[in-house]
Amino acid sequence: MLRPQAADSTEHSLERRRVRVDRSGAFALASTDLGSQYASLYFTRLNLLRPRVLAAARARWADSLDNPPECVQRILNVQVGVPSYVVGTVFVDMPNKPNILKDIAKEGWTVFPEARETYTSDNDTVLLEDESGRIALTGEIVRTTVFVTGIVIGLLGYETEDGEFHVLDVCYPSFEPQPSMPAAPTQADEHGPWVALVSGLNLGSQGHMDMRHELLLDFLTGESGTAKDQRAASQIAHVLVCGNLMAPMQKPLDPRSRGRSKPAVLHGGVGRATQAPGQTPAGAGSNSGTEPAGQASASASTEAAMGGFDPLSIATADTFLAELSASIPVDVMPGPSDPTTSFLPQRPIHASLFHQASRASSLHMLPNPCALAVDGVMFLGEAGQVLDDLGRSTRVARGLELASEVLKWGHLAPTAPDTLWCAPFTDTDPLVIGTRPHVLFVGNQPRFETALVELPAAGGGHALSQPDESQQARAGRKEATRVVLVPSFAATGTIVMLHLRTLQTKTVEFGTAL
Amino acid sequence: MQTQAQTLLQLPRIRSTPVATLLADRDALDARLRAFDLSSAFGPCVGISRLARWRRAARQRLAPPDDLGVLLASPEAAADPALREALWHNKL
Repeated sequence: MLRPQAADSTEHSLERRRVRVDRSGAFALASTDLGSQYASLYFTRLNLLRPRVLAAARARWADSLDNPPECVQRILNVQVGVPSYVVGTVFVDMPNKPNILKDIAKEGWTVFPEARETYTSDNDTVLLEDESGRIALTGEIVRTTVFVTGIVIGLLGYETEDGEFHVLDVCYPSFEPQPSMPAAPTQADEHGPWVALVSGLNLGSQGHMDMRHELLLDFLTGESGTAKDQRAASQIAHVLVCGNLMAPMQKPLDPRSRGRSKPAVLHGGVGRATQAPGQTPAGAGSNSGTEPAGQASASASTEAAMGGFDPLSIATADTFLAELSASIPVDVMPGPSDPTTSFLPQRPIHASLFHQASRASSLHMLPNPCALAVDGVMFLGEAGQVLDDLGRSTRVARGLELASEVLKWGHLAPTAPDTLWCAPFTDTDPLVIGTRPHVLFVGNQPRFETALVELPAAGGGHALSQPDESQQARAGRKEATRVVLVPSFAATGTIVMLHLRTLQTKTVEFGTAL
Repeated sequence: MQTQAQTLLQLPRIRSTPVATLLADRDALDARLRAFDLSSAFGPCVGISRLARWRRAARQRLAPPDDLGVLLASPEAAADPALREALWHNKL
């Protein structure tokens, strides 16, 4: 299929469209030292984002007004009734958030807390914090704007008699100018090139490839359909697997979860090593399926930690990737259920797990989250754990709206390390977004959603007064980002195709229903 | 025409480096290093060596004292844990 077309060839062979991929994004970190505390991470995040917020805040509130509000350097120095603006990190105090101290006090704790649907409640308090101290926020804006722990913003307001800060306006950081799209679409780009975004394949949950996976393979490699379909498939230049390539481990390790239908996600813990009756391990190859219940020895606990591992899922994924990468370049990002580190940024799945597929040079392993440039189009994305955690932390927005907030905040995962696992960086914060990408994708979502989000280059939102010409020119310039929520293939059987020149999307659905 | 040796003999001998000057008055140096540790402008001091913290402050343009930076990067500081590590190292 990939041979060049000979002039006298009687066979009709198609050549696949090619694109250049640049994978030198900021998340390809080699190693992280896990020995430090997280205070350094918050300090670094504040110092990286504070100058950007101050610049945007000055342009928005101070430069164009006659009586500009003053900028208060330390939050504790705000004065009652004086309009001023402050910059700090938001902290949302949620009583429903898992708290290890409360769990210990209740004396019913296990190593890993139960996963909760949401951390929000009616008793949440939003505070703004910097090196000097913190102050509680009030005002109507606080209820209607999305505030999560860890974002760095500027707030205009005044201190009330109760010692709280009444918020009048919110300001977000400014960004470096977004590089323009590399090429305008030409006549040759009418049919492509397309990038296929796939997520949540969950290979190996039955020990063999699902019919839908076979259909997906045939579609992407061009082996299905007529000549017209094959011509369309040859325009798919790249496949990006956005997380959850392999199915999560089915075996629960927490004895309290017996009888639950949801499988426990991979955790190698030292919980009590009793096996829940009635819960069969996934696949046929699990080797600790006959572990006697109630045995609490150390060897049994490590056996339980490792025993639920299904080698068939890796073999299935290997076969799938080998067939796919023989025909089309594939980039694989890990997700929450893949065998790699679980704290952000997740290390790429090691290619040596896949014996056959790793021989192909067209298979690349990426970290999660990842930033790459395909033919000059900047992609930034993550496998879904960040958006799911954000959804648990706020009620104000969901789904696509919440994913677009990331482009305003300038930080990809602000709730890390509070409710999301993250490595304790001491001198950088690689999750800070410096320039808005052209495409922001989130994997493993329940359904497909997409929008072309346009945001002003600096500050975000409306200006309070009439800015002058140069500011208007700069603030009026909008930067567009295509935000895509990629649906989970295991749940919906749908993949997303993105046109590289026009950033249009379409979905392809695979099903076996008649 | 001077020989090279004669030229070298005429140069003023450098008797004290900045690091040696600082190390001469150890009490004042310790006070300055403690102030560097406790200064909130440069971030938390727990879990990070003084040199790494100084470098982080320099990279983020927070203007840490230059002579302390020279001292912390010197081999004398690398050999002495009282200089190398911050105030609460192994105490928290």
